[in-house]
Amino acid sequence: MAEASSWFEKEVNATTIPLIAFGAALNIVVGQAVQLIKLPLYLDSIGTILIACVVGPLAGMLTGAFANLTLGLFFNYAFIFFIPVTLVIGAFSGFAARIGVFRRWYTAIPTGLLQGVLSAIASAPIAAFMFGGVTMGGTDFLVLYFRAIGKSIIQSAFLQGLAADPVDKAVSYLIVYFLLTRIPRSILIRLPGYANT
Amino acid sequence: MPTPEAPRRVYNPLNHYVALTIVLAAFAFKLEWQLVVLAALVSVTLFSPERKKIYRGFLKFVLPLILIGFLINGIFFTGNVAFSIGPVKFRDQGLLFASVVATRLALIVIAISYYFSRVKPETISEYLASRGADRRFIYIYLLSVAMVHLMRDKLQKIYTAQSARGLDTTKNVFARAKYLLPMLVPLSYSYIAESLDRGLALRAANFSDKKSPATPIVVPLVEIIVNRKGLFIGRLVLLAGVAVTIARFVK
Repeated sequence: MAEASSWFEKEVNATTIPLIAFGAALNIVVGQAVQLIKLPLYLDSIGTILIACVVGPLAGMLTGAFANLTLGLFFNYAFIFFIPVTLVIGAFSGFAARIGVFRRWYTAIPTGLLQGVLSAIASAPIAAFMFGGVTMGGTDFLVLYFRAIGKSIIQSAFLQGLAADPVDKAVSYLIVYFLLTRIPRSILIRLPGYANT
Repeated sequence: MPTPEAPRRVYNPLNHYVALTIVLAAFAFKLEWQLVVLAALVSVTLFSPERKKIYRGFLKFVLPLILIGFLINGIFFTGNVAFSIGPVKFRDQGLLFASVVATRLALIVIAISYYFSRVKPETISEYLASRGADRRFIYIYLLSVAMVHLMRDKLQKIYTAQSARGLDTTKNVFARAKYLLPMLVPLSYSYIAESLDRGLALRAANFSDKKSPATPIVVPLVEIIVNRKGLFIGRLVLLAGVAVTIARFVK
């Protein structure tokens, strides 16, 4: 218990709090950037993955939770129900960063694909039982297709996630890798998770 | 001359207990009872001054979701044909499932919208701080909300600058994807540096990592009684909601 508490104190303190808030805001703003340049992706976890890498898994989980909370309160309530998915993303990318997957692009991409599969597993029950498989995302037609070929509602939600999430997360991981290579070392060295970069 | 302070509106915890209970009811009750709660909620919210705010969001985001849900589940579920429009047959099991999901969504969204239309985030933060909540969470939430607006403005400026340098959104996906990094790198770089400086300032200002001391706001006695009653009734209602939910799922 004391160990968990000290882990929490290490990742969520006066130095990291503004970084977590920045990561949450980045998740929201990247969504806007993607709309501006009309990309067929969500990329709404870049802030979560970045903070999980440069601070730690707990900070990543908090970043995702606060981003979805803010999105839910100000834009679309549906985001609030997907907070458990952001927790999975934050935890997984934080632990992945510790083994150095963000040091090379060719380790970042497959880890992103795996992250996508985990996200699809985590989001399927929420999409199926909370929203009946429909989330008003651009991939709803896939749910329609899988239902048409006889899959159950949870299978359809999972397969829809599987079709969209791995690519989305692999691109997100790659973007985080490029961000880390382009941010000056003088800034990176001040971050708690510098060793992960 | 100092101006007199405006009377402080005290947050009544009954607000969030009622909202939470309705969210629980959305899962605990059967469809008939969900509809009863929904009818009560709609009749309360329709006569509230915040109705425009509540139902604008509902019509924009939730109604299309519900309609598509009826369409997908009505057509692709198995079961008896309830009705058909031309060659398209709607199954009763699918329509029932879509009705449960629609009622659940409507209950949750209207309850949460009503709650947040009446209570400002700062008021909740103030209340949570007065109850001894962890200040770090309150600060992260308020700072992220503030940062979203600042970063959006900055992103718009970067986008305008990139457009002037030839950013073309009519090109193919891969060409457009190349524009993402030149937009994100300056944005991330400046805000990471700023966040680190902000962290230093917080440390220098001796920002406590511990919970804030529970220092209730000084309020008139009547309001304290109302608040305490609200707290008690709220907890009671919530407990009943939890009990019903557990009973439903155990059964």
